[in-house]
This record gives sequence, structure tokens and C-alpha cells, in this order.
Amino acid sequence: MRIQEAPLRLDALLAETDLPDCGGLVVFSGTVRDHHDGKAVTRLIYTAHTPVAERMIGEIEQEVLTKFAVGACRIQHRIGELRIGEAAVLVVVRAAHRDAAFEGSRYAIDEVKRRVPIWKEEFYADGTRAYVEGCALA
Amino acid sequence: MFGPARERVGGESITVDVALPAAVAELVAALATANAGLAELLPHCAIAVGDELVPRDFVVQPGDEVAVLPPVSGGC
Repeated sequence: MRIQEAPLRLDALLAETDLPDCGGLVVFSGTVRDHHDGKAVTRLIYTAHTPVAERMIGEIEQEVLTKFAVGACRIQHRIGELRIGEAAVLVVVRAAHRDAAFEGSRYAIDEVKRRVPIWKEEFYADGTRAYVEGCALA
Repeated sequence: MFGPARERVGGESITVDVALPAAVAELVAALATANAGLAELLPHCAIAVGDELVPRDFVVQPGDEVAVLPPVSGGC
């Protein structure tokens, strides 16, 4: 599962990717921030085109495996309503050595932001709301 | 409709009259005519049929599920 409404669980992803030949583990967690462009954010709603998003994230995981010397890559993104501080996305990359783990995880989160059909709707303390300006799919 | 496109249309879907099979470009043109708010956004939108992103010359068949995917803002 790559897109889910339930809270993301790092322990499950770590268990799933456990590899004895990988000495480098990088975890990136994107969490809900309480501000955007000077406005106080109170909560977010993420929505997705789930079939395309699942497939795109699967492709990105595979790309990380082929482009970098990594042993495992898993990415999960949460949808639905999230509170400040909750994890919206998790990237777990394991590699024999740290350089590939750092590079692979950076590639993974950048591609998720660029290519996966997920939309962030912010709700502000002043009662207004807006979709965050996005990145056009190629 | 997804994300900001859903907001422009005021719902999850929109109905337009297009004889199928038809190219995605024809559907997009019909959508733009049907809704002025959506028209501004459509040049920046990708189109998916099922779980595949498709080009504007892709031919839509009867029964296909067509999705309008505005610029994305996942991550954090």
C-alpha cells in the first residue's frame, strides 16, 4: 500500500525493508507545517487519484532501485484530513553505504512532489482555505 | 475531477456531450466550453484514463473513466 488514509507507520516500513547487507538507512518524513506564505495553517486535507498515484509511486520506488546503489526503497503518502505535525509522507531507503541512501531518498521525495497526483488543501486560522499551488504533470 | 478542478466544477464530475470515440483534446475542448473556471485550469491539467496518464491525441472509448488532474501538490 502506497496511498492510505490510516496514519503512516515507520516501524512497519522499517521491518519490511530490513536487509542485512545495507548499512545505510535514510528516512525522510514530510510532516504537516503550521504555516504557509505567512498564514497560520490549522489542518490539511490531502486527496489523490489513487490508482494513478499508487502506480506512480511504485515506478518511483523502482527508479530509485535502478538509478542508485540501494537495496530497498519504500514510499507511502497519507490522504484525508491531517493535523499539524502528522506525517504526510514517508520515504525509507536502505543502501550498503550512506551516499546512495541519501541520494536515493532525495530523488524519491522530489519525484513524489513532481509526479504523483495528490493535492493539498490548506485550512487557515482566519477561516479561509485554498489548494496549494502545484506542479503540472508532464 | 480532482483537487482544484473539483473546486472549479463544484463537484466530483461534470457532464458534457461528446460523441465517442473521441480524442482527449475534443473532450478537453468541450469541458472548457462547459465551465469557464475549468477552462483556465485545463491547459495545466493532465488527463488520465483508468490508471494511465494519456496524451491529448489518445482516443477515449465509451465506458472509459476520464480524470482531470490539475498541477499536483503532494509531499510536504
